[in-house]
Amino acid sequence: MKNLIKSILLISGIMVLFTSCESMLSDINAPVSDPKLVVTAFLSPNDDTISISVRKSRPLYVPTTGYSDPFPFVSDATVTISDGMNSLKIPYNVANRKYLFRAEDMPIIPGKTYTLLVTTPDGYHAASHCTVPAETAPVVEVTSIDTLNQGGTIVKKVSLRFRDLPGNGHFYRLSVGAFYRYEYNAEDVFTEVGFERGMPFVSDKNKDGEYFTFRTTEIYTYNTTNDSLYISLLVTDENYYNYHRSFNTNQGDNPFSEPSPVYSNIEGGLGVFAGINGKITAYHMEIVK
Amino acid sequence: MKRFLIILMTILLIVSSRLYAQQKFSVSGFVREKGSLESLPGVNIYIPVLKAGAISNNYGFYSVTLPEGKYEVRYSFIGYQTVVLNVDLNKDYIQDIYLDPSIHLSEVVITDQKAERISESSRISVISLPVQQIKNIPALFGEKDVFKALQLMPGVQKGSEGSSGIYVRGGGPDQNLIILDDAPVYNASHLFGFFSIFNGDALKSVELTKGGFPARYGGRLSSVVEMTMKDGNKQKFSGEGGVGLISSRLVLEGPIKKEASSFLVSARRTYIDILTRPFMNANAKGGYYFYDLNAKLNYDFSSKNKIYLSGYFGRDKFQVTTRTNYNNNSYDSKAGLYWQNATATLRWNHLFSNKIFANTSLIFSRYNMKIFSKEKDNANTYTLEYNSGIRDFAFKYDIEYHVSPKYTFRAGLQSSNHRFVPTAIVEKDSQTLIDYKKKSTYNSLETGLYVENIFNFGGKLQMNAGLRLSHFIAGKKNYFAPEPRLSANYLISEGFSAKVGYAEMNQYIHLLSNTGIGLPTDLWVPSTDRVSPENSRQISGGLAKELPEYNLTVTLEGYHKWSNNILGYKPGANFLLLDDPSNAQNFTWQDNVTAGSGKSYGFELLLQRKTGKFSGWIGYTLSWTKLKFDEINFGKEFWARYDRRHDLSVVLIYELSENTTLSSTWVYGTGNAITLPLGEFPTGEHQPFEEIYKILNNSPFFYNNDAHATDYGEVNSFRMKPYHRLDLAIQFHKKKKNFERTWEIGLYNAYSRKNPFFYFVDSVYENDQVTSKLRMVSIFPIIPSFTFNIKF
Repeated sequence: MKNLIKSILLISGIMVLFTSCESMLSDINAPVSDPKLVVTAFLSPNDDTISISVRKSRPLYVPTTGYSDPFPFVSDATVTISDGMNSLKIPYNVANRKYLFRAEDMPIIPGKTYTLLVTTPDGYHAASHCTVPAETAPVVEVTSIDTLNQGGTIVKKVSLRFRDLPGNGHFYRLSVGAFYRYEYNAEDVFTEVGFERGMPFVSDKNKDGEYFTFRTTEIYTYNTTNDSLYISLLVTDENYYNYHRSFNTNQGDNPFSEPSPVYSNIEGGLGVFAGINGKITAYHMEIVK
Repeated sequence: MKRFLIILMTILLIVSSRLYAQQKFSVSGFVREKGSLESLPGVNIYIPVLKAGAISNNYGFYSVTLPEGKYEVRYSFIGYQTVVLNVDLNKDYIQDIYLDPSIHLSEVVITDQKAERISESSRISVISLPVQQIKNIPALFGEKDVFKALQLMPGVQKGSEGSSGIYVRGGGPDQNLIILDDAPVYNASHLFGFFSIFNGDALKSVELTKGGFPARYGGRLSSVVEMTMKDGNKQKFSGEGGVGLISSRLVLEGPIKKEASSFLVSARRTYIDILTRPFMNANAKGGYYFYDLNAKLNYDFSSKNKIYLSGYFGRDKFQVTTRTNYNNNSYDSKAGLYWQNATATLRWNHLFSNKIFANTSLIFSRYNMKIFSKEKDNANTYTLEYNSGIRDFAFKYDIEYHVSPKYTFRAGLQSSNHRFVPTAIVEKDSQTLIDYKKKSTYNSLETGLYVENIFNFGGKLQMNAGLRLSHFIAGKKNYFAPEPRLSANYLISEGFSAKVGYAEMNQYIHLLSNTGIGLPTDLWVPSTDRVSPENSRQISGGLAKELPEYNLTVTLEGYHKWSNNILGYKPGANFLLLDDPSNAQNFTWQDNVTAGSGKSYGFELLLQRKTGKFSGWIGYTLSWTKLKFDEINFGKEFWARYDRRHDLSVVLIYELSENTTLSSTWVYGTGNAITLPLGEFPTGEHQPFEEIYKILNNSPFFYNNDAHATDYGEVNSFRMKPYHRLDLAIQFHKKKKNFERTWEIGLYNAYSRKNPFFYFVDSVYENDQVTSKLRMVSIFPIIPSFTFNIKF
């Protein structure tokens, strides 16, 4: 079917453009931009270590040498986080190529607002702030587990739900994963599972207090000894929601459709500085039939 | 709202209470063309002594009621000789008028006429397109096109290069109500939008309303394009035909019963498929063609009852067939894309009295599209079919009461049953035994009830105050909205007037389009409990000035339009089921749309010379169009793709001699606003299972993969290159004994300007370096055309 579409476009193109040729293509002077600072950091009260990634973007329309390091890591930036009272200068970790600090040096507290400042010797300056969600994530219920035989392979589809916290302005991210046994070296491998119903990033806009329901795609557990379903439900801030949703839908192939820009709350740069609150729970799938 | 109604009713009462104070009589009838007896809408009927008059309606009917006395009544219409009737009104007169089409009138006679004075019409933001002039304007491949002629008018813009879609005062092509003999047309494009389905051959009049809408129109936000088909010659058999580069056409018309009944048939077909067939591989054939068929029949039972039956049918067919042979096996495949429009209208005109005219219409309209793929080898067959469309059955009743030259009352009702089929899929596979059928349909009822009060206060002030009540039911959801309408004209001095207009509009059906270029896959859908109707409010005001000494009319208008609940597509939404029609199984359009608001304002200037040796117009638009959606551009306002600061059209037609006509058009438009990729960056997506990965990898660190995204900058913040183009044409006419023939040589894009069609980013490897280059694709360089026309 895709071939049909291609031939439709091709033949109609030929028909209409029978007089046109290569010369109908011309170069346009595009606005040349400088690389931008790309800052990403997620603050969670459940993390012992918080990392901040500082990199540079690759502008189009200027020559780039190879693809070895298209997005250089910035190691000489001054990165500071403050909670309004105290501030902390965060050191660069060479092994991780990120700026790291321990939660004990700057505790991440639900409901608190943090400010991040990044300056570089070559004149970049980026700033952002975010608030860590005050509430902990609601409980995720497993409502059913369907066991299906797909041509001799046993797979499971799990239905889940959780109830929105009271009040407006909640955002969530639900992730589900499981292990399966990789026969070659008899090791367990972890994979994330997609949803055939429900979206991983949701907002309670027009859904205050209601249930969000999900159903996973096929889960292959094979011969693993670990039958747990790992469920992560995060309460996130709006920045997290906007950022992840925007590049998950960022398609720019069709010249007639409107491409969608990626969200950013970094002033003077790209990326995101967001607060999250939640943790991973394990669920034994064999228990429920 | 309530206050508006009270004012309206009061005015109505005052006016009607004064009506019967004096003995009055009426003069009424139909205005027709001499020779063909074709009825003429829009003819100006003027009584100089009263500085008042009337305009013939869509069926050529007119009625003027005056106090007893002697009057001079003048009937004038552009391109026709004025008829002066002297009546001694002491009883009701019924008088049909025959206007002589005088093609080669000298300019002096024309300036003497009082034809169609825009400064005296209460209507604002109306363009009546001279159908005859369309034939003289140069066109792409010589294919005359009503919509492309409309694009040359101020306030109307084209979309991308070559596209026949129209953008009226910032509204999209989905916001235009296109009506052909009362029937709505849902997809007005052929050949993926490059041509509209209206070539003008079968049309008598084309009128575009951009604002100040009279209450009789409703259902779309931005414009109404009303087209009336010719009735057919009632006196003698005649015809017109043409042979062009890509299509041929023929119109035949004549009497069935002389002076009482006539028919008209018009057909057009392209022959690209026939021309390219010899060059195709025997094992793989592809072809495309479209055709149009217009037909109309009418019958005058008496002077009081007339019946019209008219229809349009047009189809585009694109298909590819292949055949492969291997080891005594053969594999055949056939795939295609068809789309078709059909409309039919049955109308009955009835005169209750000399003053009361009524029309009843039964209307049918259908648009459907089909994509299919069939594969067959010796053992197996596979079929996939995808259909979508919309079908309307409608009833319409309109009544006009010509109370006096000072007051006309119009009212009516229209009710349409829409049946939407957004998806219908059939999939059959003999191998996997798939036998899948799914069809989703939505039924809805759209109703409009209106009144219009047309006042003339002492020849100085004309006003049309009206109200439309619109109602829509889809499933269990009801929508109801009152829509006040007002337009007024104040005559400042002879030939100079000021106009204002206000209109509220509601649109209950929406077009889902992934491209905005008018592809057949664009889909009509109804308002539902989740998707609200679109609505708009528009104010417009302007000045109209006649310059009879130069045979010129000048209009200057300003407008401001606010639209709400307009439909946008969520980032990454895809309605282009062409990619994979089997995806349509999970198609949920309501999840992919988002509602927002729009704001557009601007000024339009039109300088027009409709008749004479040297005719044409200059149209200039200065406009701004902004959109705001919660889910697009993060809630920040952005320029619409077709926001166009400057838009200029110059159309010149010069009759060099009786046998030669020269014509040219030059257009200029600010470049479209597009979103441009500026760079790429690593997304650094958050990984909720980071802890698990750290344990598994036995590492204190988690490295997320280098997924990257495009940095687009702000939505529509970059402008394409401006568009400009010169078209030229020369026509050689020759009158023979029984027929007249015309040769036309045309040149599209005479100086071969490379105009932008779309931009894309291309990666170029040079000297070990990668550079992204921004490239522009243009599609039409200089294109010559030849056409031969014959009229008998």
